[in-house]
Amino acid sequence: MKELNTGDKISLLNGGFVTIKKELGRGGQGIVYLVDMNGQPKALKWYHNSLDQAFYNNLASNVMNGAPSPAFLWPERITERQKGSFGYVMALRPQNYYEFGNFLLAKKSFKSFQAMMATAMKICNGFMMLHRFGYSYQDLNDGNFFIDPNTGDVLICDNDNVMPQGEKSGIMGKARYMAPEIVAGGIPDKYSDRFSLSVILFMLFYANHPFEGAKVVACPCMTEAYEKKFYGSEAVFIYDPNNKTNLPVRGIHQNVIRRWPVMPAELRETFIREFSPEMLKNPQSRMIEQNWGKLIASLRDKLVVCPHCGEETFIDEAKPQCMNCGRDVDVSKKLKLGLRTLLLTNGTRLFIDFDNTPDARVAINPQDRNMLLLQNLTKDKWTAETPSGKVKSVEPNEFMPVKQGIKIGFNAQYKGEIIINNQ
Amino acid sequence: MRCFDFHCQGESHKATDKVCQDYSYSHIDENGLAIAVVCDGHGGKHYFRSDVGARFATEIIAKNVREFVSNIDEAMFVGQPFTQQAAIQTEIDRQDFRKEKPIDIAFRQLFGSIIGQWQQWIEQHASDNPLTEKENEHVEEQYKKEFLSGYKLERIYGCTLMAYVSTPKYWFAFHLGDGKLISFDQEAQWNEPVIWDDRCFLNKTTSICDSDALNEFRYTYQGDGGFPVAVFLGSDGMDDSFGEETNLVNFYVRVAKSLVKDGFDATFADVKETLPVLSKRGSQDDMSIACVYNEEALKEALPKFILWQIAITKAGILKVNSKILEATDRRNELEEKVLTLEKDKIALRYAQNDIDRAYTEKQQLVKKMNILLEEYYGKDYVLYQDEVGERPKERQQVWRMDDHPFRVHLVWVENKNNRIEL
Amino acid sequence: MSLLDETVSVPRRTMTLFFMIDTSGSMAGSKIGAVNDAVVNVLPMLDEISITNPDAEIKVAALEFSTGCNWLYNEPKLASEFVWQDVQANGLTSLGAACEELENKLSRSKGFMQSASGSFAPAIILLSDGAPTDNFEAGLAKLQGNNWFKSAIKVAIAIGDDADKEVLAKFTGTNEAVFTVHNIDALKQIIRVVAVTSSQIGSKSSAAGDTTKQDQVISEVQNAVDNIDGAEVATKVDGSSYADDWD
Repeated sequence: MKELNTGDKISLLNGGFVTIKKELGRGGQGIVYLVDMNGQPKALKWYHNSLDQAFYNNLASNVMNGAPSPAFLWPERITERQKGSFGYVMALRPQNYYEFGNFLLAKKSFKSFQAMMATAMKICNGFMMLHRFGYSYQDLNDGNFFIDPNTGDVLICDNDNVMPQGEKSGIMGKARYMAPEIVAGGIPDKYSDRFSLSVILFMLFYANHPFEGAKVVACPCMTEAYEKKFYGSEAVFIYDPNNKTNLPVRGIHQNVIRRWPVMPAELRETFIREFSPEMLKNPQSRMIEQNWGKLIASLRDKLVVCPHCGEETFIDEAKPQCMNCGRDVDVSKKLKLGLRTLLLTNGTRLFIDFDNTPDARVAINPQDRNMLLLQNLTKDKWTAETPSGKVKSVEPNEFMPVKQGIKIGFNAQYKGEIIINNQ
Repeated sequence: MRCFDFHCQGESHKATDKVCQDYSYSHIDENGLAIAVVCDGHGGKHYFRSDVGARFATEIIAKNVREFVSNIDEAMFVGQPFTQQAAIQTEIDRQDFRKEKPIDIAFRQLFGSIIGQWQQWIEQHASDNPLTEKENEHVEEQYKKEFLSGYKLERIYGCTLMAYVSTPKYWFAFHLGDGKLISFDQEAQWNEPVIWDDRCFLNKTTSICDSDALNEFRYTYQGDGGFPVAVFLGSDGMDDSFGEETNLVNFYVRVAKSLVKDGFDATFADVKETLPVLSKRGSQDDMSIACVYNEEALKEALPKFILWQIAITKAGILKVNSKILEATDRRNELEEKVLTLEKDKIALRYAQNDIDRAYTEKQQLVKKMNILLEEYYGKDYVLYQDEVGERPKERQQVWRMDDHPFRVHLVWVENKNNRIEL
Repeated sequence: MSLLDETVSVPRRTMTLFFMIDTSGSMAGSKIGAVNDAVVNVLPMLDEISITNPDAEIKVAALEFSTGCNWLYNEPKLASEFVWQDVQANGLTSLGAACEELENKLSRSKGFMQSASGSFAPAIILLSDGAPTDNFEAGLAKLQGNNWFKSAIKVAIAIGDDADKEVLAKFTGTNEAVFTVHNIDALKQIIRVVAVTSSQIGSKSSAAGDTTKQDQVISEVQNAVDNIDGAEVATKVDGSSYADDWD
């Protein structure tokens, strides 16, 4: 394969062409160039080796179908075969997005838990949509995710290996993200993707791999044989309550050692269940994306701003102390939303649905500092019903008081009620 | 390839009956694998078993490096240019994020195995070896409690570590903490191949017992055929004795020269005798050194080593020359004035002192220079000389006419030809 | 030892003690007189420590600051060779400029920390009676980025009630290292105690720090201060710095 030069024109399938500007980077599979497409800057990934027709066809069809969700930096156009190879055009990755690997090594950190939750939610949604479209991921690794540490926005890249479920693309992802049955040689599908999702979420929250503990540290050099063992046949969750042979090690797994007790119990329980030996052997019973979404929403519901020290904290209703300053946080005011309970404290933003745009803001009434207000941050009108039966509407950006018994209809899908527990 | 290593108790440890907390190791395996390791256990009262920690770290490094080298895919190294990886915190400080390559992941695995196994060994040691009589007597209550509770046991055994490893196809070095790893190339140019960690400053250091130890490893590797001619590992007892780094490098040059001229056995014996003396004169601290070198290449580079020494001695001479000239100017200026201010009288005294001191230093340097010149050029070498000279020029006081008639005053003049000038 | 021949130098290690002296107008009279007297008398004591200490020799550098700032000599001098010249008091209080000047000299390549200092952090004693009149925060910020400063033993002596103790505490990093004096005798005594203690502790080889040298100096000086009439130690800071509930 010849490498491309500045000025080269590459023709696209179904018409048009792009002009090469310069090289942006290169990896195992190909080289990425900055190109111009009708005056727009784009990126072109050009493969080192001409891959087979099946791959080409799959890529072309992915282009046709479009991205399953905005989380994916998806191939926009595929080139014609030329100069001994081919490639695809995609949007440029925006500045200030960093590879997930940087977060794992703590070179970069989330600005806030809120941002971390946003990333988790978007990845979940992305996977859910991917599977709805009938795809499975195939080549998942930490190089695929680019995250903005301030907002938590995430882009999933390198989507050229996305395949319909049940097909094996031949590109094997790192064993770390592969379900044990795939490490053993099986074919990736949505169940093994769910495993990968659980690993990614674990790594997002704890910056540590769920199977990397004392066992993995035993060998100075990770060989294929060890990999098959540690991530496959003999995988043990680091915090498996019944198997303490793989606990995290001081000095090496510091991130998870610090964060495991700090993040809510709900999260711990979920992971202990998902990575238990029984679950590992049972791909079909793995938690579906929707339920991960519910879990993340539930965490967000408990994430408030401490009125004393101003820092974010998760609140356990049973023991409502701030994680940072230790002082009690008033959890008497809540919004019940179906099975969910959202805590209302000044400064907190509420996420009603499962996207990453806050839907409401909690503020203090300047005239009566004992009363909280709720601001409508959505584009829709809310309908509120008071305990005495009066119906009021809350336009976008308007405020409403937080008073016992008020029912709020946020939209057709979500309806909540304010509950105030008086001490 | 040859190697040696040595570690000895420091002067201050002798005084307080504290064992040597440094440990060193070096070996050339039959397959051409060379390993040199130096570990320095922390000296404070808290770290009362750091000698054990240093020894364990050394042994584990040697063992794990061997396993690493025999299992790793050589292709990862072959062809790689000289590549350095700083400690993670250094990368964050510089905002210079390198993308992780498979070789970096492999190194992380190696380092993780060193920390993890070290942790196991010391915990086992603590449980197999309860407090001794001596420890019960001398160790402070709070540290004894820590030991018994098992909380943060690693601190009690804490140490720094550094290693140099070479195979016929590639070499790598890694470092956690203070101490210095110095390499020499064929041109006798020296280098510190592993990036420094600024958290190691004065007597503070990063350590294997830190909670973030894995991220504190820094390392360098090369697989494109470039190899250092000699590598010296020294604990901070060494570099603290010499102060400025060029003094330490100069000492290693001296050792390198000796290896070529006097041979391995004589030099090694010398090193063993010298280090305790150095500790006494210098850092007072435990001393350890490890060295790996290529015999033929070192021999070839010998003249260049002497030239390097000549160059730095020359630089030193130039520096002291300018000190002499500056102080002389200062003194002469003050002498011109009629001194009434106490301040000026003191300044004059200081100027004269500085001149005297500078000349003493000059004499030492010239002596050094002549030794080196003879070494390089042989018996027919030319003694070093320059304009400024090695001793102050002879002066004497003479009377000079004032502007005002019938008034004279004393001035100093150089006594060039032993005649009095008017 | 043929390896330690004339071509190899093993220098003696140095610990440098810095005096930063406020010579603004308000120090005029008995205050500056006391400072001059105290320093002159402490130098021989420092010399004794230097001679009897096998670990390091002690050098002294003095920076006076008022409207501008000025080093008494162009390099640190051995305590025995340091001839103290009385300083006069006159002008404003440019502590910010003094901090910047100190930061310049706390460097190995172009400052005062050249001579093979091995592993000894310097000791810095700041004497002042009033508030800074220039941009102190900026000067201190620059100083706080300097590694030598970070590891240095820092002590401040506040002269009289007008002294801005908060400023001094910012300099030393803790208000426990700020010692206040109310009369001339106490001033002299405390200068002596602080200088001697800092030099003793500063010039000892210590190990990977538990108690920092600064803390050791603070606790020894605190003990000594109990016996000095007219000198006081700052009280411990209240740990909780959070405002009360806003409701």
